[in-house]
Amino acid sequence: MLSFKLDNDLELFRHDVRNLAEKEFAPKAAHWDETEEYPEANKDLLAELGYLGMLIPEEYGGSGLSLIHGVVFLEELARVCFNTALVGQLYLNGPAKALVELGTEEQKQRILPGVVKGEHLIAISISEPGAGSAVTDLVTHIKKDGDDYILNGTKCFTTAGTEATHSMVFARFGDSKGPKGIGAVLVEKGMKGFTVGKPELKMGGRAVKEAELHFDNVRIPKENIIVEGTPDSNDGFKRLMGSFGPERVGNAGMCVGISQGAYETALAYSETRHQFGRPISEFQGIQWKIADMATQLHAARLMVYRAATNLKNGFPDPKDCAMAKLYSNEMAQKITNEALQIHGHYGYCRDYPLERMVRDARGFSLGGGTPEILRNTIAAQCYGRTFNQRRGK
Amino acid sequence: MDFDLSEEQTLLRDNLRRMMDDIATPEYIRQHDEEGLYPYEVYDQWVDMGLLGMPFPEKYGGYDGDVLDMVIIGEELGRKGYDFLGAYALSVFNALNVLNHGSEEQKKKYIPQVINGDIRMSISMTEPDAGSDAGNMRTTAERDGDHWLINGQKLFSTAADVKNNVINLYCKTDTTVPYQQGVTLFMVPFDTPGVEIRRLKTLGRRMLGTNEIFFDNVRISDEMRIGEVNKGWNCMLSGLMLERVVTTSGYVGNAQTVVDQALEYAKQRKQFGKPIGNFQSIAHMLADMQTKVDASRMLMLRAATIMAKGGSALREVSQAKLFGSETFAEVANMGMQILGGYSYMMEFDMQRHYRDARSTTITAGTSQMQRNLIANTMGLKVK
Repeated sequence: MLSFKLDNDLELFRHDVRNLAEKEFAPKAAHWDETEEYPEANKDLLAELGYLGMLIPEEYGGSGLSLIHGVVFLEELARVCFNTALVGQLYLNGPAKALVELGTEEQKQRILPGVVKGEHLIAISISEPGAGSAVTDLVTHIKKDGDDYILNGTKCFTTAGTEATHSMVFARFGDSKGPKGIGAVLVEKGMKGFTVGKPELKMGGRAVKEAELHFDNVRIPKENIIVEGTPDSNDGFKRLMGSFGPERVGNAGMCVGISQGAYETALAYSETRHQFGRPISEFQGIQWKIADMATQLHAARLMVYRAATNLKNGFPDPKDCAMAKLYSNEMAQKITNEALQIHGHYGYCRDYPLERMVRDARGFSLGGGTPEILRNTIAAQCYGRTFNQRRGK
Repeated sequence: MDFDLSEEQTLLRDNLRRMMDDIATPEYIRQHDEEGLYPYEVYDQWVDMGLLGMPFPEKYGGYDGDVLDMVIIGEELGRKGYDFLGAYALSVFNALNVLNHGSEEQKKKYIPQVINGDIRMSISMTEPDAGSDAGNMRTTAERDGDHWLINGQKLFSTAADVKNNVINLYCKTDTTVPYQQGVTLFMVPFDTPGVEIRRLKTLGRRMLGTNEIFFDNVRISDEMRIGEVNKGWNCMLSGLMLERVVTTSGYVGNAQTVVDQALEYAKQRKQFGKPIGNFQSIAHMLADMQTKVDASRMLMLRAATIMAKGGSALREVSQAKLFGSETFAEVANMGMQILGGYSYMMEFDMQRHYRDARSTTITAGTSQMQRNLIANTMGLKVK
């Protein structure tokens, strides 16, 4: 029998995180958006309370909790402050999680305890100006040079690239094309030849910016190779992509959280706002909007919880992840927009949180695998074969 | 139905497009959006080419243009961003109220001033508790000899704080009767003592800006009253069809730019070794976008054509406004998706279109109110 209910301890955990988020993060949510400052203080508090390392195994100083805890955590943060949730996502489900899966024992010992304490931040660097959805078009390359490696290239849209102490950079080993030969290395802040460009200004998630990373003959010691690519095999690339399932689940969890926040705000507003002599909640047009929002939110939440709990070796099923992220991304756009519409022009004004939520939610569908690319992934699973996107011109 | 433009209309469109291309450059628009600056330079050019006089009779300095001329202008200005049409339309629509309801003296005095750019006009109707329910307004004007004393608060008043602006203000002048019978329209220069304007921060449409206005014992001469006392509701209703159809033409223009820019990007941007526009999913998105924008344009032109022949197009105008604004918001969202991560960056225009489009299903009558209006013309009594 399926129960579809979270265990009591998870509900208690949610309760704690919600209290923390409402007390500490909600009051300054607009501040981070407005000033576009990285919410360093929030990160420090999360580190102090042990949340940043919650998914990292105990032997590296973390609490070794499971993915579903991470989802509930991000949900609660995103419900009140998306920028803080984004920071949480970087520590919980992004490259740190990938390092746990793919890194060497030495790398994990060296870096993960710092992640738990909030001293290390690992950014993930995949996209390039000419390689967005077509990841395997990337041209950043790495060559062996004695015992070391030499890295050259340019990356874009690296989230928190400015704040990161380490970046997990996807690069091409040797002469290769497509998925073959792709691997990943750790680049550390301060390495000679490594520079971070001015961060891009963006529409939402404004406190956690994307930066361009430039590598000009950066010397990488072999200890910093996470996955070595081999020019005649795509195994490295497959392993890398396989380790980003939790990131997709976390992204979908944030969608649920921000939508929950928007839904609650709209529900409360519709009860207090009077037009034509009665609360607008008395109009069926508004009632049905609320009903649709609640239904879509419920569906998305169930999909995300399923993806977060249906694990093999600690990692979620790729199809579950793709479906949960696809549905949640588009749901978050719809729900934040409907919540804004219920607020009328007040929703368009920055005294209310709705316009911020719409801007923040819009980004989910542009990063970490667009809904379009996820549809490719899902279709490939449905048909049991991958479709070559390069065919024809 | 004949949707072809006449020779004069084609000329108008082409000249206007050339002029807007010259002055409203991408850099100009970006800067004005970013810094929340009113497009004075563009407005001055409209004045120079006589655009502000289009719908007014010759005897007040105008060109006797009809509703089709107005929607041509609306679409061209909207192509550069909805706020350009907004700046134009605010002055023209409010001056049309003077034409339709003002005294001969007021017409001779104010219409030429609007046409030659000496004054601008804006409208102020919405209040904190009177949004879609406009009749619930509480700002009052009390008679004080041959003057009026105005007290209250207005909200969401677009471009109220710009140079030489005259606010066209709806107030309650009789609080004992239902609103249709107790509202009066006044012209209040924006710098009149007692008027305090505060700009609100908004998601989009930042060039014109929207404001909160406080009126504290504002003394206005009775000469600034438009139309009869307590008959202001008629002023508000009389211009509504024209306002909505021209507003919709601006949505169509801006939505067309969204499609043009998304299409251009889809042709240039290569992923997986070919332009992304050659992928069926993207191609179909663009096909849907252009189809919907064309459908918006047809609905808008149908309403305008009925009105140009002197007919009432109450339902058709609401249908055009509903579909045009929803389409604009929808294609802007699809445009975001086509541009991928770049669309989310402030240096690309698509995020601005998306932010601007988001207001259009709310302002000038929300989509929900348009649906009520349409349903009412179908014999339903929507409560």
